Formats: sequence, structure tokens, C-alpha cells
Amino acid sequence: MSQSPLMEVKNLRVWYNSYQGYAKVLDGVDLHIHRGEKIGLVGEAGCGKTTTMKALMHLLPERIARIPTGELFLEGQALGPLPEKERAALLRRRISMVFQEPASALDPVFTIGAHMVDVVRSAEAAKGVRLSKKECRDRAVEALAQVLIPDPARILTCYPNQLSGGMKQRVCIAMAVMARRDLLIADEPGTALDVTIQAQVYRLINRLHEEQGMSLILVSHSLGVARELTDRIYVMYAGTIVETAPTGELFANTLHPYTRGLLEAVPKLTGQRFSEGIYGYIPDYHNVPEGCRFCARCPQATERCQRARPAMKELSPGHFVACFLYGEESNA
Amino acid sequence: MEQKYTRSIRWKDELHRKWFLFSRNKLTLVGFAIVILILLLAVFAPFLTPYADHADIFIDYANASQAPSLQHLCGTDVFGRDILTRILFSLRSALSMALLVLSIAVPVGVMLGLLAGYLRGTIVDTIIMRVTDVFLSVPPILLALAIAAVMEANMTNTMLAVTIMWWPWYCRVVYSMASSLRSENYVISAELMGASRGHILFREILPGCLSPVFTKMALDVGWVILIGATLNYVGLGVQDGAPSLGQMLSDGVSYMPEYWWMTIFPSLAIAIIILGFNLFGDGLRDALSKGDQET
Amino acid sequence: MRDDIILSLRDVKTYFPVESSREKLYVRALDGVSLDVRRGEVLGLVGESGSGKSTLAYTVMGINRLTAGSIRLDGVSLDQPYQRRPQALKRQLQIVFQDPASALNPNQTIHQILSLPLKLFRKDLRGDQLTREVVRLLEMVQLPPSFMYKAPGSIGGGERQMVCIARAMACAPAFLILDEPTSALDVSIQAKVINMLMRFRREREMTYLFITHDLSLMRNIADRIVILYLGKVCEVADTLTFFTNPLHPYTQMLLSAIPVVSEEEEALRPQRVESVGEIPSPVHIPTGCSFHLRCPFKQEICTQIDPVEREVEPGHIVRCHLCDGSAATAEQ
Repeated sequence: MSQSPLMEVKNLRVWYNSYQGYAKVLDGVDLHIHRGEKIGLVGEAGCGKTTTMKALMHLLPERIARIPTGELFLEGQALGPLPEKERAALLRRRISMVFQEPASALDPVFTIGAHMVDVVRSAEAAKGVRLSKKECRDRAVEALAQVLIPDPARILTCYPNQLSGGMKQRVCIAMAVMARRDLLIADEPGTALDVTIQAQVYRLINRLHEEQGMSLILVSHSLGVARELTDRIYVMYAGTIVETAPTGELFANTLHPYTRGLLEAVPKLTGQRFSEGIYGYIPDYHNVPEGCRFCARCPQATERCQRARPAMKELSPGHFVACFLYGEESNA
Repeated sequence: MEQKYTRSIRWKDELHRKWFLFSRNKLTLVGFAIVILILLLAVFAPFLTPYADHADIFIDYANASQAPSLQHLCGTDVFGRDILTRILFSLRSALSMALLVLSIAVPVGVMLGLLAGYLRGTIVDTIIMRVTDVFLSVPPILLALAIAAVMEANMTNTMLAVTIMWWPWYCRVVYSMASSLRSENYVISAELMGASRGHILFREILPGCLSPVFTKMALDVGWVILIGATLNYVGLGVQDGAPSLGQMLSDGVSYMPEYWWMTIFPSLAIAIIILGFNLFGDGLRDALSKGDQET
Repeated sequence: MRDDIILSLRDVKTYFPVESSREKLYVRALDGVSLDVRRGEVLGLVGESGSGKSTLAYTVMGINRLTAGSIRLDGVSLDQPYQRRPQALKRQLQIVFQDPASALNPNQTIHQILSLPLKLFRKDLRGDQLTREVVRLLEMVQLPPSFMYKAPGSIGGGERQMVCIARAMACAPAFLILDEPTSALDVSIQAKVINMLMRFRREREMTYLFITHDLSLMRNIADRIVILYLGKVCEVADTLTFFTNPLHPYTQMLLSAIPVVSEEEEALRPQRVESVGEIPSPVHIPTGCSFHLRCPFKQEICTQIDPVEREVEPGHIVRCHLCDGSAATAEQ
């Protein structure tokens, strides 16, 4: 495997400026995704999942966000040396995004048709092709049909508020599909929707991945959703990646205490009682512990965890974990 | 168990946060400085000028209509009174007028708006809000002129006129806040426990309505002073001797452009006051508005 | 023989007029719900958004006006809106809202919030005694006393929900409605909140009406489960029967859409009933069975005649033609 990943982030740090000083949200995030791969980024609310994605997409609020370290590679090419504008444009040409709140992703004063034609236009213009309005509309109808929207021609004339949440999310996905990007970032695409609608949206994303070979980064707080949809999972805690493994391996052989805690806290259909949850809350980012960020909540924390940050260690092929409990026989 | 829990911690933190939001915009700090300066100048006016007696009826034809100089930084008027002194003293009357108007208009407007908002959809709401509409539909200057025509044109009546056209705005602001807050879950849950109307109105709903009121008050100090000056300018609220910015303007205008300082300095004072309170009010709004995730 | 019924709903209807329409149209949020809640049980009320589950809670609480039918708590009528209910009744019946952020007044301290029910229901408490009681409430939900002078905005989502629960508990209600109390929380915190709720119920012999969309959660804590669809009951069963023998096609669809985290769980899901379609608008409810537009087992009769509730085995009520034999008869 000498081929470089489709996208790679190394040592990403993001700080937010606030009245209490800098909130050091992300602390050295490394992640990569290969072409055609589906990866999941899982963690509790406030653990930096969305911040990571925003950093990838160049969407961080400039007024308050700082990126002290971090390198971004697209197919092996470092984006750091490129000028700001070019970098943002390049990213937008390659990546499309689906948000948690489909309502906020669509402008209420434009019809669905106007949104979609715009997307086709800009996507084709980037390739130097000019399409007529008719061709754009045909593309839009085709894309809507692809996401299983009944009567696409009528939907094109609707305004966003005339559609249900599930419908809007499907339109968002259709727009992402039409742009034919290499990578789709789906930030909690089903969280605002009902279970049955969620299932439909996930099925759709899965099918598009199969048909178009689009890579997927799924951001979710739910391990169950990530399990159904992805090949590989990154577990994130308080701005650090604590464990990553192929999906099957992660669930069969869960290592990090945080991942285990999360998994045990999920109510199961088998009806076995779930745990008491994980003790405590995510640390205050203004004043993060020096050692492992999870140590205050970890049932197996030792004195060492308070002093030093554990590094990522590969325990079995593709299964990395950042915890002192593993991989140091010499120390035990 | 008997330990005392310190309340102050929370307020300190909250103040710190508010100050961060407030001071993020540099113009706000300029506004804040202007407001503080105006207050200080008004309070210490008698000690800041060697011509304190010029604030009252005073005639010194020997020094009349002098251009700005080191003795009289802003020049003197046709009676030989120091214009800077009169501006400083007029700040006092202007500010006390703003204070008086707001101290009547705000409580009245807030109470009526709160009641109407809480009882939205009832006859009380209809009556209060329609009365408000009537007041809002009358052009303010016209109303003030009418009142002045019926009653004596003195300072009290001027203030009365300004107050009458001011409370409906507060009523509107609080009405819209209260009528949306009353369906908030925390209000409903207090009601479900059987809390009294007084508790619901003053403890649950009112505190949530206050931040736009404070913001508006800061902005309005400037506007009340401007309206007061306008009314003075057209000859209402004339009390001979006591200086007012509007009257200084109207007196000075007839001597334009030769004695320009008689007009320019009072108008500059008005402009600075309005600017200061507006910038201050904007900053206050930034600091008090809810749901700012950027902290 | 008959269980002790604490809350009973008989043919409850709640309609809201649609204001913008020319002809008189109604949102039929609850369209004839009959339901019994037994003393001391946890009844799970499950449905998608738009099913009327929150409307049911609000109608029982008296926040929504009852259009028709009757509600009784321990034999006392609950037909009037809450403003006209006696104080003793208000104490008996409390609710915990879904969003803890909007259920706590942002302008008050936790002390002020928790002392309200104490002042209302225990008039003898004054000054220091009141504070001591507030501290006791906080300790009951495992929050430190220093939280007293914090504002709801400065504590975490889970902690806020704990405060909401403590406030409801301060009234010492016999019947507590929980309107999706954990759907805004992370799983790790959800486990804690749920365990605490279950402990209170045991200690105080309370009855819970637990409204949720999370069936896996219900599997773990509910005694019986009710499925609501478009303002009507689809299926009622005790939890074990519900998960081992789900009869209504909608129930099966819901069950098969649950994301799970293990293979044992997967085995418990019914064979894939694929989720299709969305819940129709409660203004234009389809004729016949309201579910027939999405039902994979739809028959001729379903489009015309609304099925009635039928007790297929003791305590297991289903409202579907497939289970009352009439569909089979129609086929012949």
C-alpha cells in the first residue's frame, strides 16, 4: 500500500479564543481516509468532532479560531504551502458536506430547483463546462430520483419549508451527489430525524457509496450508527483520538476504557442492564489536564496517566489505541 | 452542612464574560469612555470651570461675543457668558431630563408590556396594545407641541410630553419578549406547580425581558436628550437663565456664520452625546444578548 | 384480578384548528386514544415525531385543551386545563421536559429554581431550612451543593436534566411524565440519568409515563410499551412480548430500524422490514388504516376500513387487520 490516502490530517490543533483565554479544543488529531473508504468519527457531544470537520473544510470561524499546528494532505500533496484562497477552493472542489440540520443548509427564499441548479453549475464550471439551464434541471431531476424522491420535477419547484426534514436531508444528499466530489462528510446526518427516516437516509448514503465509489466520513455520537455504516472508526475524546480500528475489530475487541464505557452505556436490545455510564464530564478546555485527557473519568487511571499523554500504539493490524494499559509489556 | 456558599463567584464570572463580550468591539469602548466622561463632566461641572456663575442669568457685555480663546475655550455668547461653562451645565439638565423621562417611561412601559404579553390573546392584551398603537401613531413632536400649547411651556411639561411619547416603545419591546417567553417550558413548569401570577410575571418572565430594555435605555438617553434639545430649539421648555443645548443652538443660529462658535460647539456636544450613548448601547446589546456561542 | 389503574385515558382526542385554511381543518394530534397506566409501572410511549406522543403528555398535564374524551388520575377527572386544577392535583402529577435548557429559567440560580416547589408545597420552610432542603435535593441527584448558586447556563446538559428531575421530585409526585428526558444527552450521561430515575421509582413507588423514540432503551426499563402512530394506538404489550412477538407491521418497521452494537442484538431484530415513506400530515389522515401508505403487508381492506383495537392475547392489543382475521376473510 504505497498509495497515499485521499485525505490526511496530521497533528491538528485548534484553539478558540474566549473570555477565559484560549480553549484548547483539538489537541493533535491525526486521521486519514483512503479512496473509497467509509470511516466514522465517534464521540460525545463537545468532544471536537464537528470542529475537526470544520477545520478540514476551512469553515472555522476566523474571528476566534486559531490553528497552532496541523497539516492537511490531499492525495499526498501538502496543502499548507498553498495560498489561503486556493486551498479553500481546492477543498471545496473535492469535498461535499451534509449537515445535521438539513433546514439550516437550505436557504428558505430559494426553491429546491434553484439550489440544485446552482450546485450543478458551479461543479461543472470548475471543470470548465458550461451547461444550459435545461441540462442543469435534467441533472437535478436525475439526482433527486437517485435519492428516491418521488415526483422530482414537482419537488424542484418547492421551497425548503414545504418539505419534511427527511425530504430536505435527501435533497442535501442529492446535492452532494450531483457535485460528484471524491469525499462526502456527513455530520450527524440522521440525528435530527426519526428512526425510520434515519434508516432510509443511511441506506441511501450506503447505496451512493457503492454506486459512485465516494469516500465517506461519518460524524456521529452513536456507535450503533457507525457500526452499520462504516469500515473503520475513530473514537474521539476531548479533542484527541483515543482509539481507531476496523469496525468489526473495534466492536469485537474494544480496548480503550472510554470506548468500552461508551459501548457499555448503550442500551441494548438484549435487555441486559446497561452500566452507570461514564463518571464525570468532558474537561474544561481552558484548563485541560496535562496527562491523558480521559484520566479524570477513567476507572483504570493510574498516577502515570495524570503526568503523561499516552501515544498511539498499534496493537494488531490497523487497531491503534492511545492508552498506557496496552502495549508496554516491558513496563508491566 | 452549615457552610456558607459564596454567591459572589458566579457574578464575578458572569461580569467577566459580559465585559469580554462588551469590550470585544473597540468602538464600544470609545462609547463607554464618552458616556463616563459625560457623566463626570455633568457631576463636577461647577468645579471644572472658573465661570460657574455664567450658568445662570449673567450679563457681561464687556466680554460679549468673543471668539474662542484661552480664557474662553468655546467663546462667549451675546451676553458675555462662557459657552463651555453653559455646555457643561446644560449636560446636567439634559441628563436629569433623560433620567426623569426614562424613570417614568420605562417602568410604565415595562409593566404594561409584561401584562399584555403574559395575557396575550385576552381583552387586556387588546386594550393595552391598541392604546400603545394610538400613542405610537401620533408624531412625537406634534404631541409635544400640542401639550405645550394647552399647558404652560416649561421644563416639566416638556418632560411630560417626551415621557408620553416614550413609554409605548418599551411596552412594545417587553410585549414581544414576554409573549414569547410565556410559552417557554420553565414558565409552564412553574405554572404546573401552581406558582402565583406575581411569581410568574416578576420572577420567571420579567428577568428575561430586561436585557433589550437595558440596551434600549442606553440608546434612548441619547435620543431623549436630542428630542429635548429639539423641543427647546423650537421654544418649548424655555426657562430663562438655565442653559440647555437646544436653546443655545436656537440662540446661536441667528448669529451664524460670523459667531459660528455659538452654534458649532453646542451642536458638537449633542452629536458626541448621541454617538457615545449609541456606541455604548450597541456594546451593551452584544454583551447582554443570549446565545452567543462564540465564548 | 384487574390491575390497579392509576391513570386512564378514554377515547382522548386533541385537535388543533389550522388557522391559515379557508375551510375548517384540524390537526388531529390525538385521535381517540384509550390507555391505562397501572400503578407503579413504567409505561413506554413510543412513536415518531408527529405521532402525537408529546401531545398526549401535554394533554394529560392540561397544557393542551382536551377536545373530547376523558382522563382520570386515581379516579379524579383531569379534563380541565391545569390552571383550574386544584393544588393537590398539581402536586400529584409532574413532568420532565425533553430539553433541559428551556425547562430551567436562565435568569435564576439553581437555588431559586429548586426552592420554588419547596415554597409552594412545604410552606413551613424558611431561610436556612430552605437552603438545607435545596442541598438535600441536589445531593439526591448527586450534584455538589456548590451548584446552588450557579446558573443553568453554566452547567452541562446532563446536570441540567438532573436539576429538572430534582425539581419534579421536590413535589413528591405519584405520577411522573418523562418527555424524552435523555434524547438530548450523550449515552454516557443517559445511563446515569436513567439509573437514577429508576432508583427513585423503586424508592418512592412512583409511576412513570416514559415518552421516547428509543426502543432499545425501553427494552431495558419499561414494563409495558405503547406504540403510537398518527394519534392512534397501534400496539400495546408488555415488554417481553413486545420484543419477542411484535405483531403490528409498524412496530416491526421500528424495530428493524434500530442501530445496534452487537451481533446478539442483531439476532433479536425482526427480519428486515424496510423503512419506507414518512408519517403523513395529521391534517389529512389517510382513509382506512392510517399506516397503509407505508405498510409492506397492505391489503385491499386496509385502504378502506380503519381497524379496531383487538386483544390478541392477554394484555397484548394490536390495531391491525392482519391480526383480527378480517384481512384473511376479505382475501377469500
